[in-house]
Amino acid sequence: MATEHPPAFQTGLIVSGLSAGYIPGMPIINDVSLTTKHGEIVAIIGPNGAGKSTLLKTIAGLLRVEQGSVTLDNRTITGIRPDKLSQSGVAMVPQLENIFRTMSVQQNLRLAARRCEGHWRKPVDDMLTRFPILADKYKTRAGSLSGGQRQFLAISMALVASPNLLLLDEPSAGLSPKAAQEVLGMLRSISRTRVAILMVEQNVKAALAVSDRAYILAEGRNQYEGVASELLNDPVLGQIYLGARRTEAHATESI
Amino acid sequence: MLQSLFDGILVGSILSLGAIGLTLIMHILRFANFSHAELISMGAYFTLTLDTMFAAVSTTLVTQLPMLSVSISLMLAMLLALVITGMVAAIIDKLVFKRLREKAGPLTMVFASFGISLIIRNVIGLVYGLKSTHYNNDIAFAMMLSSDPLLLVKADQLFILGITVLVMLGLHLFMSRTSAGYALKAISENPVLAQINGINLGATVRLAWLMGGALATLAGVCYALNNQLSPVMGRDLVLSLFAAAIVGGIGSIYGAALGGIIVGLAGSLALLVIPTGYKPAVPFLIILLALYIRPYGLFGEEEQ
Repeated sequence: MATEHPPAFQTGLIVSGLSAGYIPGMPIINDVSLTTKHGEIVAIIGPNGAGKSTLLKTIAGLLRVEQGSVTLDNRTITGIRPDKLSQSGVAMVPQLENIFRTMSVQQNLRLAARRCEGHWRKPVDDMLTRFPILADKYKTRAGSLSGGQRQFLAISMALVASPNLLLLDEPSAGLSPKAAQEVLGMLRSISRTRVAILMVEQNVKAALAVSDRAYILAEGRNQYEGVASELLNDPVLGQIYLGARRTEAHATESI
Repeated sequence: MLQSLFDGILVGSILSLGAIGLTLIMHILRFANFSHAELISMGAYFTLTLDTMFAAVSTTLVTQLPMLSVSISLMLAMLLALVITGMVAAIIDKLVFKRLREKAGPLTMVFASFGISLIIRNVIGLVYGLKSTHYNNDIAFAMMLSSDPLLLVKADQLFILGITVLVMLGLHLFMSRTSAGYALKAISENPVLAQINGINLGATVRLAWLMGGALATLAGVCYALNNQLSPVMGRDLVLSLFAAAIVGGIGSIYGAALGGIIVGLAGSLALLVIPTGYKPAVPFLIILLALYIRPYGLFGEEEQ
């Protein structure tokens, strides 16, 4: 069972030399290593197809690991089924289809609270206090919520069982700028409860603005890591995102 | 007209029981399982065997329930057959469909389901013979509940309706009040999201097969009580089951229940205007209409 405030000696997430993909023998991510401490927000950024979402899915147990290991608070969690992982402190918010549309807000939260010990009512009530907008929509069908409300519901479903590690796949995708700002802005308050947050985000500037550290992933491999505020002004980011490195490489090949 | 309505609702309620399991499996495992209808025959014949065994063990069990042609041994046999057929369905999944899910695609699973249905049908024919039979050879007389318009109803038919209504109610409570019911709905809608919310995919799929097999048995026994047992009863019902599931919306239990009633009523009312020989075409027409007007069904979700 997850604890709300992990002790200081716990190390958080350590990913070492991870290779994984959808088809055996054809890894999408290769030899990726990263760490995320408790209370820290770490962003994974990189171009489309870099393997960012694949990395999150692998950590969450949704894809088979070909090489490497994942440990959370000194426990190896490599190869553990996603339902078991979710009961031992790993929560994930997928990019798309991250709520059960045909169920009400209440049913979504109740379902997510299956991971909690004891009755579902208390943790669900805690989430409603934390996200008052969901309390107003308690009986509403989740499919009829706005984009921002859906994302709050998805995040509250992930938080309801007090996870140690929160994996967020593009939390601002498809949201209005205002809603995206609200969602990303909320991450800081979540991390204050010593949850380790690992986030994949296309909105690089916004992601780096709320993160402590960031990793740049390209072609399935670690390319760069650093303090988020420093990366914001780093020319490497520009090279990758503006395609300078690729253009340069192609030019070399043609010569 | 009143008689046709009653007959339609009766047949429809039996179809609903079969269609619920079919729609659950189709939605969760994303393939059209043509062997589901054979679980109806299997369950009905398991019940026949167990009924014969119980009756041989104790003559008290042969006692019929008041006004019905249903004996205590038949009821006990049915209850046991619910479990056995559910387990057989789960075993078929483990031996055949699970392997194909991992190593092949949905189309291969559909063809495999054709093969399994042929095997089940022929094994039943081999073991029990190809002739149709009954649980009870006594003649059940119908009561005239109304003379104008004419409405003749057998006590067994009221019993069947009562059972199906009770099962539907129980199923509704199960799906809306229990964690297992929520898990089934969740896996059916979004298996990945369900798993990261702590739901065991394998266990929930097994639960769906158990439920599907049990409900198919109930449908088979009710069908046999209203008509007769025959090795081809599954084959005769398969199109109607698919029509019910499609009309209701694939994945919706409530849709399948309503879809069954609609198909049953359509088949029965159609006989007022078309010759009996054309009755088997009615489910085809319903499927075509449903796919044309509302492809995702009455309770289904439009793909986004």
